[in-house]
Amino acid sequence: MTKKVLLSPLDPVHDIGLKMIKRGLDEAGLETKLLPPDTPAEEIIRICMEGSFDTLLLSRTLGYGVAELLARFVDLADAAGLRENVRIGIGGMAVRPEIAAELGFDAGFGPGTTVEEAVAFVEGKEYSPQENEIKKEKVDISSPYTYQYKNEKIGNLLKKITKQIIGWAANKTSPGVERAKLRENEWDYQAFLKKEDDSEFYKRYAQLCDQVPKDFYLQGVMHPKTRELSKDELISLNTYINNMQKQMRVKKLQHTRKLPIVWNQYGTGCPFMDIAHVKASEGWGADGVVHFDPSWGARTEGFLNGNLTHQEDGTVITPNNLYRIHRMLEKSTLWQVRAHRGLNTAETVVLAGKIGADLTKINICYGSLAAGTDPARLTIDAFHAIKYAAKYKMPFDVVTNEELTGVPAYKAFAGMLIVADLAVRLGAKPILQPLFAFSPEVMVGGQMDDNYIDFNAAKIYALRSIVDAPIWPGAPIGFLTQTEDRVQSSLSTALHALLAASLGVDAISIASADEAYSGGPISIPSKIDTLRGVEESFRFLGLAGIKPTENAQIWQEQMVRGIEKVLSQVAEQGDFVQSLYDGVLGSKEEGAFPGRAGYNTVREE
Amino acid sequence: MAVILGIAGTAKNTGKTTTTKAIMEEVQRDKNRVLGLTSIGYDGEDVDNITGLPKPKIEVWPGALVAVAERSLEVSTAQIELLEKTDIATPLGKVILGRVTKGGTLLIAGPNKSKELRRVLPLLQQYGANFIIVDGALNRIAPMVEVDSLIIATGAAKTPNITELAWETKHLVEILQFPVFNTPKNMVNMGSVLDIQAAQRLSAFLSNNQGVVIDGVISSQGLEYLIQVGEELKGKILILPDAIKLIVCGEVRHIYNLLSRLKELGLEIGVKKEVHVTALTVNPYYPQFRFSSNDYQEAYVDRKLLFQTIKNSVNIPVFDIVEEGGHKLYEVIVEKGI
Repeated sequence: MTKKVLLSPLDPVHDIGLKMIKRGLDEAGLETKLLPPDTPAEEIIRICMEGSFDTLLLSRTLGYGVAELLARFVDLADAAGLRENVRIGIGGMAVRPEIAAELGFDAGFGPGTTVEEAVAFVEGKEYSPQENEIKKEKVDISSPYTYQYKNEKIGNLLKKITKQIIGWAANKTSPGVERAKLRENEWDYQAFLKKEDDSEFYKRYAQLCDQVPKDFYLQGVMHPKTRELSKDELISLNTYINNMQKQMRVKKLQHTRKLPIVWNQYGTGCPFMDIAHVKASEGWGADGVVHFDPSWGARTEGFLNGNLTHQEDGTVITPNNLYRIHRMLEKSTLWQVRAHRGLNTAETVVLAGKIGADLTKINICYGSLAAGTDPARLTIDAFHAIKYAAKYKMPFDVVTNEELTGVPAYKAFAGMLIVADLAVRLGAKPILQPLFAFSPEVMVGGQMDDNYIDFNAAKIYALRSIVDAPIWPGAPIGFLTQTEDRVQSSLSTALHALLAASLGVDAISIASADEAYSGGPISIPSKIDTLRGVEESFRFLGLAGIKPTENAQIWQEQMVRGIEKVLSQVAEQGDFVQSLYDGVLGSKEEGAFPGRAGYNTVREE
Repeated sequence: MAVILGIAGTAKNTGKTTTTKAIMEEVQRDKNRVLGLTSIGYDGEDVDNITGLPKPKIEVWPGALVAVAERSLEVSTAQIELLEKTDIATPLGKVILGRVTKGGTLLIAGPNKSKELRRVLPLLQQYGANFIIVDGALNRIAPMVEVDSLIIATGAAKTPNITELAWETKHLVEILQFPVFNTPKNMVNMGSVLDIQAAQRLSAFLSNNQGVVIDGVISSQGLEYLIQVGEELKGKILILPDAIKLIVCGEVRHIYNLLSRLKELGLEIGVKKEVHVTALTVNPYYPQFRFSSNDYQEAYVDRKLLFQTIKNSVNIPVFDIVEEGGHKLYEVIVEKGI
């Protein structure tokens, strides 16, 4: 028999929620009757009893003294005998199941109640949110792309440059490459999981390391910045993970567009906080999380081992730390382990691949021009890192952060395209990562004096006109536009996300609201700020778009010409590594200084 | 014989939980008693769902029996062995019957209407409970028709005006003590009187018969209508299922005045089933709303004055639990319960 539902708003005015529920119930084939607002309690109860309704749905905004009023209604309904046969639900802002229980209702519906939920209640079925749980799957943003060049001239220049790099790399190696090789051939993840003895491996490994890791392995001396997690800490960490996984539910940020997917980084330095950050990111809708190592890690030959924590940004890369984070990720969460810029690039890719990362991050130009690593060293290490990324089927993004020191976008893009082209030739899947930033170039040049849209749009247009490849602006979007004001910071991130969505890019990385100014680890509330902000921006935009001014077109053309010019110079020079030293891809005047870490460590095999 | 005790309040924060805890302590001490605990609302949370102020926590001990909603166990530290899962649905999941295996805090959300409480009380007894406490919620009282003995918690949270509170309490107790009538013959039965049409029918029935039995409630509007009818009511009888049905229809003092007026007109009003109001507890605490910050702060009225005034206004025992503990109250309950 068709269930009969009586709906009655107890509020003087707010009956819109009930009207929406009524529409849903009608569509589900139920018989409904909606009473006008402000119908007296006695009247509602009488109508409900005389009309033989099965369910009564009330709505009321909770406020001062309202709890007693609702409790009185429930009492009257009970005493009148209505509740012998009729079930009563309450909906409204601030209604939670706990409050509904206290007030004496059969169910409570807060904001965000779905029609399915209301129908399930009316039909007396158990509402299981699992059925309505968001189905989320990992997205491989690189898969639709062909990596074909649309700008033939640039394509040909890149071919020439990368051929030279492949030739240069053929007979070279470095301690980093050797460690990666050892890790690849002699270290087994399954054996690690079974806690098999690995002392022989680490004895050989130590020989390829700097003094600090060497002392760690051979003398048992802790790295001065780190400490081992205690047994108690590990036990409570595991308890925390287990409890957290039970109650975990993922969420989606995207509205009607499927892209961009949204990345959040963790890397608090503390394995506890990392996991809390990852879970918060997942719970509030991030599609992927980024693991990054501490900056001292990038300048030290060799990794440490064990359950290590430290009090700086970045998470110490050890098999244990990576394993623990990987184990607590939701199935739908993409995991990127950053390998770029330092002396452990190649080995990071091997570890990430063995432990199960989905993506990694490799670059040459930023790392060697603005992050302190010797150009020759990073070129050989990245060359091998790319080969491992191809082997482990991990796409990786190529960053252009040298822009932040003052290198103009077109030069940074030329460097990025070289690495991307090299990757494609080595069988890997690179992702282009232009910055969405208020960079020194535009601060001086005035391209963002009017708006943040045109120059960022020009970057995307320029890259799209050159090659059919995935684009992932970062990292994070809105770099240098955010201030210590959390509202301003979140809004700026959300607006840049809006622009990214409008431009149809594949992914974005977003910061937390306090990231630029936290003066320490970022906080979870500010992480949620930006995730919620981005979600709202996607909801706001839908399939509509942002229209840049004609400047975007003009700057796009300038950028493409600039890229051609730089690539011609590199190709002409015929020595990519030397071009880096010489400042062709970013000069000292532009704030780019070839790094010293790993200088003179590249040798011929 | 099992004691089935209900603890109702006249408003939020009148001391229901404090009273419940005080009685529980006594039950725990009494080796002949096995506690059965349930609630018609939601109790045991850290901070009040509505005012946001801290609340006393309920703690249970091994061996005690409970009837609570499944999800309330998620936030309790006590460990509960599942005895039976009922099909009684609440906003926090199905009601389960359980036995405490490890003591700790317990959030009690349970069957929240008469119909369900009627099913749960015998179940608690079947599993061996012989002292059952039904914890109340807010100002709700309707499901308390199912208990044998009722404690009413009142205090400044109802109104910080002590004189007004005394009047209201006096009237409440007097209504709850309305006499039990044996139903005479020649009575007409009818359902709840909720509107003028029903009141008209009621009045016609009273004119043509010796009396009417209402199987439900009568609204204050209905009572007002009868007063208009006036003289014809003399010598007629009106019977309700129980006195609780009289007080759920409006403000106690208004209902009391209407009932007094009807009595003056010669209408005899009685109930089928007695509500045993065993005692009152009074609480000087009240949450004071701060308009400046849109939240609540703790406030108190004069403890002694409150206690004395209420004590003088009613004919049943009155306790200040915070001041004197639950021992004397417990003795009164047990004495009356047997």
